[in-house]
Amino acid sequence: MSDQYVLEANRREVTGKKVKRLRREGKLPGILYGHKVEPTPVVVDYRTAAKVLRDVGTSTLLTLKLDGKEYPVLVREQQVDVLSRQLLHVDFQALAMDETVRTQVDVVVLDENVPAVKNYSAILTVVLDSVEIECLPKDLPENITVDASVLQEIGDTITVADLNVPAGVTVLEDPESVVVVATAPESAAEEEAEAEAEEGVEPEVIEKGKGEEEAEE
Amino acid sequence: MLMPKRVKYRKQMRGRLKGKARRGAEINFGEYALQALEPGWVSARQIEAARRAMTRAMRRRGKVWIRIFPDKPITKRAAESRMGKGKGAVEYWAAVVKPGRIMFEVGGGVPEDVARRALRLASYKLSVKSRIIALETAEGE
Repeated sequence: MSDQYVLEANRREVTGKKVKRLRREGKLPGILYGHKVEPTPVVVDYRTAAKVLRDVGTSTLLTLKLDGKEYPVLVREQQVDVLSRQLLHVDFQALAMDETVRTQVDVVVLDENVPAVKNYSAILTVVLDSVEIECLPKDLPENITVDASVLQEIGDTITVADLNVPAGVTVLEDPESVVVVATAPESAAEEEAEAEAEEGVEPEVIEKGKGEEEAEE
Repeated sequence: MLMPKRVKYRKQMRGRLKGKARRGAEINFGEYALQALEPGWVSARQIEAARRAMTRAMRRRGKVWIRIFPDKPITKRAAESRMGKGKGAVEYWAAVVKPGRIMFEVGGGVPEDVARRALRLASYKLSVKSRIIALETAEGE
């Protein structure tokens, strides 16, 4: 169980729109659920939760203390207000340590000393910034690192099959899915041509109006 | 300029701009983004001007993503015409933007100062107030 990240939670009786009051009091509503765990509305202290949740990903094991019991949990979802960026709600999934779990794990790209970037001014495009994995909770990796220095030329790719996955972890993505690709930078000539072509286009509206609909009927 | 290839109806009603953005409010492609802080219509011309300002500021480093699409036809009555005689002609296309909407993203290894400068220049071309956000701080606090 994770000793690094520990959160203390209390049971929550308040549900629905009334949780606004909890938020005003500096508390963060959440829910705990999982295999053989009854879904339980919980509340945690906002400040400590925000500090902890800033560092954890979707594959980081946390310890949630509730009613004197300790649950190993994953943060399944964090709801954030789009403007204030305050946390609104958090989902904790309780895990059984002897059962495999599926989750998303972040892909971290090491983009230093990439020959394609140095020699051809390529742009590294990260297509998959996270991959779905399945493993036992004890084997959960924080992230999967990809060394992009194998990308020699423009068009070179790193696929899921090339990922360096720790033992005991199964990646559930298609092995041929592209994770990182070295793409060519847009040339100045292309940009201008595009702009000119765009100038000439008239607003064309193909109306799928009554006539067609009636014909279909 | 951006516009739909085909539409079901030629003209639309204006509609109301209530609430905050629910979709398209998270950074999904790049590392830095321009987020709208107020509701409004962003015209295809503004989007194009912002895109040009960004690509020019970035000088072929990194990549730009446009997260809004102008799919709303905005009509205007002809000058000095009397009321009635039907709705005016389509003048331009606009994207409906609500507070929180991510409008542009930049990324692909572009340095932070360049990205922020590009997004700031882009924000001057738009008719809605906006702010620059980074991926690291998009969640948590």
